Amino acid sequence: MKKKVGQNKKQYSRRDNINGFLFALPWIIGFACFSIIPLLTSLYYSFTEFNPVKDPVWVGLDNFKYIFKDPLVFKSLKNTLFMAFVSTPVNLFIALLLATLLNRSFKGRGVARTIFFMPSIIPMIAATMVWIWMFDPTYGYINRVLGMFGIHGPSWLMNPAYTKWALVLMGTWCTGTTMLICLAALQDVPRSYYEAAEIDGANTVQRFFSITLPCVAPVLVYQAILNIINSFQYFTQVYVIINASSGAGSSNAGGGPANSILMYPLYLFNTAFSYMKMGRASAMAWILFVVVSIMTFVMIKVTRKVSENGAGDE
Amino acid sequence: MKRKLVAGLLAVVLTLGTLTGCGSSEGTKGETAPAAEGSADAAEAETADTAEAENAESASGEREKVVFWYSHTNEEGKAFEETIKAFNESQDKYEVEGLSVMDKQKIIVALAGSEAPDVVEVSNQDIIAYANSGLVESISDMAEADGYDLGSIYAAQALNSNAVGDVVYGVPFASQIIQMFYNKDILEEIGYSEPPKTMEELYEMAEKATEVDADGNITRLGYPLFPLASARQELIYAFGGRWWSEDGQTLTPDDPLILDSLNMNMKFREKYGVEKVQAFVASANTNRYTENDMFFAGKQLFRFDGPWLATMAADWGPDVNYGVALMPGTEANPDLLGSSRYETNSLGIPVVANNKAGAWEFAKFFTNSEATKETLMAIGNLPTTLELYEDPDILGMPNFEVFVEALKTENGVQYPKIADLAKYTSLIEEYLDYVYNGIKTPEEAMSELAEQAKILQ
Repeated sequence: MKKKVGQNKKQYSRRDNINGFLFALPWIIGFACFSIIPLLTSLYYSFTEFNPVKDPVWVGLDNFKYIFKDPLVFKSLKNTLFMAFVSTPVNLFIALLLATLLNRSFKGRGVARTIFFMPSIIPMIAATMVWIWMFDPTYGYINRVLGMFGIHGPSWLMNPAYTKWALVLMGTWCTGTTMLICLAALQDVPRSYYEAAEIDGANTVQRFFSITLPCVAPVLVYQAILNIINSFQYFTQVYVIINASSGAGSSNAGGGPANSILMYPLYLFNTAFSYMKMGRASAMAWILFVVVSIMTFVMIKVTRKVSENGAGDE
Repeated sequence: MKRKLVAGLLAVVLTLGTLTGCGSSEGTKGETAPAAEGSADAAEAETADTAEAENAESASGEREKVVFWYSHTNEEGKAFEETIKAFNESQDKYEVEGLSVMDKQKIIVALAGSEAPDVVEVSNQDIIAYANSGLVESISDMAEADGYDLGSIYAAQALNSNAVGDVVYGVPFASQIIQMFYNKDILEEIGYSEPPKTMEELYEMAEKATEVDADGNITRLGYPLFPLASARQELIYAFGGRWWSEDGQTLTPDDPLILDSLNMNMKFREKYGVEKVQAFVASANTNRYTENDMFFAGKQLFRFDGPWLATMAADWGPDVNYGVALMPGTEANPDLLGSSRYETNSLGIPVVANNKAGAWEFAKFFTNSEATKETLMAIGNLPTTLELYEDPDILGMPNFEVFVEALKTENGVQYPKIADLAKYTSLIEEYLDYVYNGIKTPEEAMSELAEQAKILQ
């Protein structure tokens, strides 16, 4: 009987596989046409010099050689890494803090959660335009608030020493999604752990660092990976700020004051569409792909380790 | 079995649908191949076929269609449409259809493909870039074939700014230059009746006009530090400094005259505090061309800007009592009076245009007819034709007399025709920012910029 069921299952499975494959075939063809082929084409283009109006000319490793001696590549990479490794922990900290506060029981908790989540659904371009006004050194709200405490606020978007910090500050406003995921993680921490800790006399801070943090650590690491990967795609905010700040006659292919907010994806975009160096831009894209892949691999290893440690502790 | 049949049929239909999608793009590629390959012969053959088809249409009594893309919207777009209407009424062979297209990428893709317009209005820098990529026709050749003497109609600098070598690729329509606006009331308040003719005089006035509050915050700015693009260009050109050599082939960021400009700039910034000046400039930049613009609010003595500032002042600063004068030179180089960047809005005819003959007729009409004057006056832009330099209606436009006087000096600074211009500009801005923020001295910054510029093509 078992054998019969097994045979039927096998027969059904083969037929199902064929049907399934046929149904999936349009998607597979689409995926090949619109993802795999362009991907491989861009790899080919990275070894060529071309623009939309000229046929690719094979230049070997010239694009890569140029990239490795181009100071703006390193500058943009440095700026991007700053956003990845400064903005990410700040955002995670704010998100976890908010989640912890919003996990407590108080009146109007639902409204508070909604308010803190709302910035995440506001279109980034509109939000950035508002932030540009907020950062105005004379009339902006940020410096006005700082002024109330006797602090003379800087020229946030004009002084290269502060521009990236302005972006970090802007980023903290949009931590709603991370906050929501942290909130879900916090709600998954078993109550019994806290009850046991309370019986043992642990205070709030001890409970947070000994129970909450280890329990949500895998989620935080996962969020950190996502945030870091997103940082390597940081584009909209700086594109809007630079275009809104550039004067008439400006090239609009800049990177903010002293190129201090020239992020790698923006420089890639400028290389492709302002400098019309599509081959070089393709090479830059592949370098970005390799860097992000390595970082993702490392972060996944770290996540596994954190998860295993968490499981071991339990 | 039935289910299997239906599933199989559906899969085949979907597969065919997808393949058909891929196939159509293949077809398009085939059509655009001659242009994409830059094969002049193939393009000409294709154009000849198209022209034949168009002429056949014309013979049948229908007007030949000419598609014109322009980069203006709203009221300015309406002025363009009026000129198109005037052209269509002026003859019965061609029918121009105008379309406002602001997206540069769309234009590039169109010029490289088969969907190009017959005429496109872009900046002269775009014309040069398109010409270098073989996307636009030689206007010199078309003019010569037509017996149309470009040199006697358009200003020399207007033609030069649209030329690669000796070949002109764009028909210049409107000139874009910057001159000096000044607040008459502030000038009078500090004891002057005439605007400065040299940067040394300007600096003296700027110091007297600048005001700060009890905390040292600048409340009124004398030195023309914004718009930011002017700080990169006109403040340098006024000293005779150039970012590139006359032939546009060599980059010269270590030009000593650039250092003279930067040193005067820094002298002013250091006197009032680099951070305080930057704070004022940042607010001014955020509010520029709005009703809170510092010039309209009477908080800026000198402003290097284009003729469009007058139009904006009428809307947002009707009370500001201002005048316009030629850009100053220096005591050492008084001949630099009126120096400014020089750009044009120009008409280009794509290599893949369907109706080049119609495009050429329209380009001539658009840039050199009574309608040209009407359009320029409607959009507040300066002329490129020598005839309009003397036109009383043009000279009667607010401040145009000064701007046309500046045009006549032919002191316009042309952009270099190097491949990496946009990147060079980005680097210039970066190193100027180091100077203006007090991070590097002008000498250090320009020396490093010269080093960085070596990799540019």
